Amino acid sequence: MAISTINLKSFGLADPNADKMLMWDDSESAFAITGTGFDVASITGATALAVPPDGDDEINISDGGTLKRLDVKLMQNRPLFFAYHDTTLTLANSTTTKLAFNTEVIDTDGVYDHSSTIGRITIPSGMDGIWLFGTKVACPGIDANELIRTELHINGDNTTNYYGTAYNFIPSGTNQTQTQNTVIVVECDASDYVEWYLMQNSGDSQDLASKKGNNCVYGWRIAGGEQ
Amino acid sequence: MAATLSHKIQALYTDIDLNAEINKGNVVIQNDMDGNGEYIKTWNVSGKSKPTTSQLNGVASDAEKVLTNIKVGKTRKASYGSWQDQLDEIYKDIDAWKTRIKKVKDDNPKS
Repeated sequence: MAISTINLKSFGLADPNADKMLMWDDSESAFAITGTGFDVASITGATALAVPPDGDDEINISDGGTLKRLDVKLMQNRPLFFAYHDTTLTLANSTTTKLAFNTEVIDTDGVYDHSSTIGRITIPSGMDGIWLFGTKVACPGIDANELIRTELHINGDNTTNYYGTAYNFIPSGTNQTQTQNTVIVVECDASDYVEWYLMQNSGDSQDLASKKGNNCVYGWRIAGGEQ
Repeated sequence: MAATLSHKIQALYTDIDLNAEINKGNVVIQNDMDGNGEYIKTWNVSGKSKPTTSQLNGVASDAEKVLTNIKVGKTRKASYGSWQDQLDEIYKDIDAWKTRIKKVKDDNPKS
């Protein structure tokens, strides 16, 4: 059938029905009245939205031929977060230490738990999909042939075969500050939680400085839904 | 800084290369920053049983020596200079090189 939805207003019905749609249901071979929707007469495109849309502004989308409304935020690269540590964070020698950064710069949807003993993000319901996570660390006190290693842990486990791990060696010198940037793209399910760890084997404990540009974690959802 | 769990393990098992075991994934020492401190998350070292808390507590003073010696070793390494520079010193005056190296060792004794 060519016409799948018809606004009841076009039948001259009174206004409480203006948001109701008459829909042809192929599976039942019958018409059905469905829920709220657009007043088709108002969809003119005559008014420009002169500013970026709010997250809960809506656009139209066809879901298998059925017109639906969709919050813009579901198509934006959010949730988005950025956090760092506002005091020094001590890393014991040869110990994989969680980067429990305690200060948020931005957290659009409250996904990052910045408690000093937590430091993780949890994927909210409806926000599963492809995520990008990044971290930057600057660890002092590293000599030649010593290393720092960043790890991404999902649901408490280091990702398999050190996926999400970055090593850093320096070829020469002593007492160097080693900077490591790690960017990872990974598919996450709702309720997954993600944490970052850092290991250094300088022989002694080392302090990460409390600088948001040096030691930080960040991330955002790239895409959602079935790919 | 004070000795930590890795130094206690090194004090207990002097015949294993802890860094090598860690790099191979046979040992993971972890701190989840939950207030419980460091713990051995993974231990799969051939011929060596996982250290117990009692064993680790028993080598606390030795662990401090391990840490001290690591610091001494790093100080010495920084004073020795690169191997390229040392080869140059040896080529020019091997006795002067030996004297300098001995002074570095004497000034930074291991315990």
